[in-house]
Amino acid sequence: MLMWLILLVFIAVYIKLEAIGLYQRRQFPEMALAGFLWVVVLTYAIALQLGVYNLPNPSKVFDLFRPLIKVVISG
Amino acid sequence: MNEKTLSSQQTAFLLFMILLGGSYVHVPPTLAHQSAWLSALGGSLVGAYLILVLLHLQSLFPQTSLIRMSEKLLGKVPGKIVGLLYLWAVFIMAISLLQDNCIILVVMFPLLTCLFLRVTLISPAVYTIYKGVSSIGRLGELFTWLTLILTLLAFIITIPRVQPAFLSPLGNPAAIAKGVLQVAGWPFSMVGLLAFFLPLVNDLPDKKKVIYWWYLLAVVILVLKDVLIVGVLSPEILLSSRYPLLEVLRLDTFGGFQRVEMFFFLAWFMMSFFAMLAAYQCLALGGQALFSLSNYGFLVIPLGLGLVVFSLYTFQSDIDFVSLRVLTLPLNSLIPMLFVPTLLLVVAKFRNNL
Repeated sequence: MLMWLILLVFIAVYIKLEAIGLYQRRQFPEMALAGFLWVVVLTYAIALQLGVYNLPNPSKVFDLFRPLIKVVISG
Repeated sequence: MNEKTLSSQQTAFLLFMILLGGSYVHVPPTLAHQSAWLSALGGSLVGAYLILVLLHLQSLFPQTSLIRMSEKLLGKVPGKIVGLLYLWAVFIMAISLLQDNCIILVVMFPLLTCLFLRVTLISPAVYTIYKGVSSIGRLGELFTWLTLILTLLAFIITIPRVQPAFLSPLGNPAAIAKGVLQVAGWPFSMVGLLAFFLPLVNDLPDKKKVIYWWYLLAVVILVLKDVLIVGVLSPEILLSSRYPLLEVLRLDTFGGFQRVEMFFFLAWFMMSFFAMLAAYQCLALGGQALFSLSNYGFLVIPLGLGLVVFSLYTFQSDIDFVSLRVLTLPLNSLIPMLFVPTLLLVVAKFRNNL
């Protein structure tokens, strides 16, 4: 419930502060970039709310360092 | 003053607050055991190197952001890839700092949920970033002196409980080297955040020395902090401690008063919030440079919500986060922060010699 409320507030504030201005100034590349960011953020926010944890996770990148870390810790 | 510029003094305060804020919620270099304070001293050389390289790059390309520099030196596409790598490190720092802030607040406010606390932290940050870079500069000016006074006060009342026997460095160079790597990754790699602020400094050529002086002061405080923590808690307790500084301060009593650590919580919170705010600001500035935007205003809210969501999604439990914190996260930020400026400096020097 809290997550939905937060999303609603953030989206409403964003529309009031930025989205209308971007559209009125015809800043379409900026609108596309903002739209992409919102899609990513909302996807993860909804996944979080629904308990879906199999989306690409930034923590997987940390695994790239595991071999190096093993060497450092055991060395 | 222009809302989009900083002075060298404000940048120095920023650096001071970022370094202290990034390190206060963390344990000292535990991999170095008893020699933690010595490792902190060694790790500070990495931060000094980063300042030197970033200032040198700034003198070669005045008022140019690191991402624009990389596009100029390496070409448009490779430059953007290198810029993205740098922004990745900033992103990791930002979500880690938000997580840290949240974890410490959960200790203080156990009935509030992580989501609520994160949004409570991000909302003022969104407002500050909207107001422009100079707001962060002014906030740094306001916070620094209060933080410095409270930190010194905390040190003064803690010093009598330090046991020198806990501080004698162990003769194991491997442990010290591991500790140096750990502390170089966190907090000293955070010096790399300066790359986004230096192009906005209006009096850098004349007054850049002030940045070095405040860096030196931050190093002294960080080493002193590690000396106090190791000297009071002992290396054995330190290894199992989640918030060693809080535990050290919790031992302090003043007359009949207890829970004196809550008094210093103000300084602690200001520093860690400020470090998170600076990393968030760098993400916005980095996005602006990466996509060649005239202003970053429309990125601020989705980036802020993104930090909230990704910090929850990436660090799904505190136990995972603590294990990542020891070396994985420091290395994740250290490698790009060291690699990118060094690469750009080498390429710039090479091109100048041609």
